[in-house]
Amino acid sequence: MSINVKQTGLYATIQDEGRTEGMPQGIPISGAMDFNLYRFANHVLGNKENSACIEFYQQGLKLEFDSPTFICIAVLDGEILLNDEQIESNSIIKIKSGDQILIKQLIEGNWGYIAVKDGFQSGAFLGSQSFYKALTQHQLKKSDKIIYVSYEGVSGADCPILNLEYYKTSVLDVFKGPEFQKLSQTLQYQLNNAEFSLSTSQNRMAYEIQERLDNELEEITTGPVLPGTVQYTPEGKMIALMRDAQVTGGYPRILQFSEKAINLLSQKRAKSKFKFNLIEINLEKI
Amino acid sequence: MSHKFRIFQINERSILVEFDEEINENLLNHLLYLKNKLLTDKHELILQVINSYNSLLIIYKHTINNFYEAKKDLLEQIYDSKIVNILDSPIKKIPVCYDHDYGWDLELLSEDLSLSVDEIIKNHSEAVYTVYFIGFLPGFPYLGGLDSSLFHRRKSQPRRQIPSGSVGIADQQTGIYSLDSPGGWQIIGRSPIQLFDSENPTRYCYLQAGDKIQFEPITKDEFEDIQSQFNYNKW
Repeated sequence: MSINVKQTGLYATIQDEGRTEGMPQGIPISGAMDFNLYRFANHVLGNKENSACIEFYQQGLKLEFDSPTFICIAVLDGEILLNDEQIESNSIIKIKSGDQILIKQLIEGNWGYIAVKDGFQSGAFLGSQSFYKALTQHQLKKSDKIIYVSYEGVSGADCPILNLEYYKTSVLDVFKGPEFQKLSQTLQYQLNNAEFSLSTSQNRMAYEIQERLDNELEEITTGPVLPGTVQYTPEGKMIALMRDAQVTGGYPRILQFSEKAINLLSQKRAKSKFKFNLIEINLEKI
Repeated sequence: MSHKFRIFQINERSILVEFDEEINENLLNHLLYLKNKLLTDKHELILQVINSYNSLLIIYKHTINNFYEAKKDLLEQIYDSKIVNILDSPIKKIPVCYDHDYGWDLELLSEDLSLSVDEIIKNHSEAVYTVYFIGFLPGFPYLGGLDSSLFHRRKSQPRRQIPSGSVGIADQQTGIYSLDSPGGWQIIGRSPIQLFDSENPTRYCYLQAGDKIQFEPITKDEFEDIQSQFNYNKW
């Protein structure tokens, strides 16, 4: 039993919670860009928390199902068609053989998740099905078939409601990065008070911030980085590393987004404005 | 351990231990010892430990509720660590073809460093290198031990595509591109061996932190021979 990819859309991959090993071998963690929405999609269907979903970017993904099941398409807001008729997102949808789903467009947010009852099956590497070039397939291609186990039971539980309030903030929690203290008082103040916006450069590896701040810091000895690390380049550009981030980097790490803030940031579109909310988590001592 | 260091919480589940010291093998030895110790003694708490030249990133399985407790634990582990030389592994030979077809920047380096191409090859292949850590790409080794005559800064504009196996120089480091990738290192040769193979689940990464390697110059014919053997039986 499988779905057939009729149109790939802008960028679609299989994602789960990502890898819990492999970083010492240079392998990124990967996993869903927005964990909150990904988990919701699985939760609706009563799936295991780490069941693999299809993650898609903004628009154009079209899939055909060859056998019955239930799915949930989780998005912040979007136009989604089942056999040319608009359907509700964030709910349980019954699928028959031959049904076609089209993600026409997302109205809010960047990433959406299609969960199927009991998860999609695909090749795993180090315990995760998350796509990453060099480990697995890079992204979904036209005519790809993705396997799932057909399900003809009842949908089971009542459908929970997606809490959209979660996303209604433009204030993102950050912690001080390892090199934050090296910034001047003025820069620290600016980071904590100024408004910033996202550039159009957005992908699973990194989101760039539009505004530049005059950089006074030298590059660092290459050190570990994580999803959510904000790097500060010699040109004064700030780069927020996302789920497919490399495991090490040589730019100063000035801020670190909280887990929740990574989810929120992932859904913010190019040109969206936001502020950093600096939270004390770390205490240091030399 | 007598090095100065700081213990810094990065996010909900990670702590950075960073040593205030220059890159050197003693420090690497300490870091790798500590990394293995943490992974053995604290495996019920810790998911992954990543080392770089002068730091360890420790990712915990769960949110760190009490930083002081976690820090106290780490301090005990650090002060309790012994000096054991774990960097005495046998030297792995990595064949490299320094032909101009693969060593795209040999001429440039020859000019900038006032060395002949043969001297560059000699200085690069005589040294024994230490793998400090794997980063940048899956399987990409950061190697220490480059002869100072070969220090050269990166390209100001990175190339769009550098083929897997390419051997490069960036500042005081040399390294091998484990996969095709964009990159800014100065390219002086190419190795036919595959450093990263996702189809080999037990040994997908040829090198690991602490390994010793040496480059072995080979001809273009030998390069092609090894490459075809490699494709045939995966080395």
